[in-house]
Amino acid sequence: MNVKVENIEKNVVQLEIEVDAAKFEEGMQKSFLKNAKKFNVPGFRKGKAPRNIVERYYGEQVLYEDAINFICPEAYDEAIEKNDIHPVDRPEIDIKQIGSGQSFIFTAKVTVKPDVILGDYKGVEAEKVEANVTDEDVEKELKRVAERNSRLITVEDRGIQKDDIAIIDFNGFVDGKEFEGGKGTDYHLTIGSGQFIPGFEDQLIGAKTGDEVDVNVVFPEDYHATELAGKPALFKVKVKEIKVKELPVLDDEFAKDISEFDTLEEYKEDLKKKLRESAEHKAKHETEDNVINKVVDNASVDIPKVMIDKHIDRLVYYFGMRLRYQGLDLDRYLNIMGMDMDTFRGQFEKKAEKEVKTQLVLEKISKVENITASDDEVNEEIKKLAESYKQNEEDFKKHLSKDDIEYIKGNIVVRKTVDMLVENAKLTVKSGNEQEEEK
Amino acid sequence: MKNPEDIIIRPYITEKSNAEVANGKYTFIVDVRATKTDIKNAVEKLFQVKVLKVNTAKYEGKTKRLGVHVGTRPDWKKAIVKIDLDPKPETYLAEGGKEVAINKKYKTSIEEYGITQ
Repeated sequence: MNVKVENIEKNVVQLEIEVDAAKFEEGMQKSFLKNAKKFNVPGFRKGKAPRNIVERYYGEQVLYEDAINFICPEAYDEAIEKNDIHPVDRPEIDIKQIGSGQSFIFTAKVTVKPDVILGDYKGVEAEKVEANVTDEDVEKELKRVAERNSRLITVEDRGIQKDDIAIIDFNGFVDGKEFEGGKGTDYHLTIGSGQFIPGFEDQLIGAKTGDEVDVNVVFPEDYHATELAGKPALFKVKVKEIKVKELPVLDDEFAKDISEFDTLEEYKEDLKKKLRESAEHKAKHETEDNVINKVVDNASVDIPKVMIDKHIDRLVYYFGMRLRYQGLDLDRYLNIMGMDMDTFRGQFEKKAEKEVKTQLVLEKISKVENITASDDEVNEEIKKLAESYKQNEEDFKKHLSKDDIEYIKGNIVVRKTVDMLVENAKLTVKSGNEQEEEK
Repeated sequence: MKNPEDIIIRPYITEKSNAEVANGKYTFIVDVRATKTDIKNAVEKLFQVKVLKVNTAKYEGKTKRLGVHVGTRPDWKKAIVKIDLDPKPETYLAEGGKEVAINKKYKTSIEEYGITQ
């Protein structure tokens, strides 16, 4: 097999592959065996005609198509492997010479992975995000937990105060007439939540259970129902019940109720630990992202359009999958959003470009730095995966295809590369809290 | 009807006849009036092979009808010719007592005619 490689455009390579006659003959034979059942020659039962009779009767061209299908992929794969070409798209195949007894020559035009020109990737300056968990954070978290465990208590001996929940019936009139949507029964209104028109909730303060209150409000000018905007309205409101949110007392008892700890102190400790863990995790990720972004910015790549398109395809596909979990499909979603497919895809373009570039840059760095995954590391990773799927390691291994292992290997390499980059980066410290405040 | 081209009309290629080629038996459709000897001579002349044996079979044309018109298809004759697969060179004495050998060509032209293994 002879292969001539030619760069015809940026990132496009043309391979001229010559397959020798014997190999071609083998393909022809395979092709004949595959199609033998189809040929119908007078004097022979269907599928019983020998190859030479078939070739004489139909011409050997009938066998070409399948012969090519047998030979090309094999020859093409071999050619790209030998010449270390990394295609990102299907090849465009063009036949140059074909015929039995001759060598078979074809050209394959294919877009290849672009060359990455790396900028500085060691010692890039990046912000280091630090995990910082204060007692304040713990208190906040504790409050949230308390809120979740709160109960509603009915009060009867006082009027409505701020933050109470009033259960009301209301009926609204504009110009002495009822209007659509102005009526409600057993509505749970949290006073001070600003759910209703401004002024409505304030006027209820002080009302007691069983009171009937007339509330006069003016719809704001920018009210969403235009026929009501700017008009004065009268609401007849009946207060049926007043409820107060009672937060549980934060003590050992509470800790016992909601966790496996006996004292509040212990629970707080645990909470702090968990918060720290998640904060550290997040901080690590953000730091990594910062470093990677810097490195990627420093590098330059001329990404072929097919790669971006393919990545957009993938993103759109995942988006569609997520929609399906919510019981929607992509077509309907686009309909609702009033978008067509092109604009929708356009939204992903930036993201796709960035992700592709990141991937290419990381790949290149791992190659330059010679970062590989050893078998031990792969096994370790498989073990971890098996655990997370709650499967026996051996069983799990059996189900892994070669591609899967390749994929795991790739992941390890990427992780190691990122670790290497972070290690070598000049990190300027910035705490997580400060950043939040800045926002 | 003396020309060998007029005697041998065309090869008769079927699964059965094709299988017999391996044993050196080639099947032809021949002129109905041709005798076994005619066929032998014609094949030897056309294909430069040595014929060992000729078997023939005559087929009557089928009666076909198209509306009220009744007609028959022509009769035809099939000849199965066995050729020598391993011919010995023939020798004869030429003038002056010299012995001349003629190599009988073997099977090439007969295959070009349409029967292949």
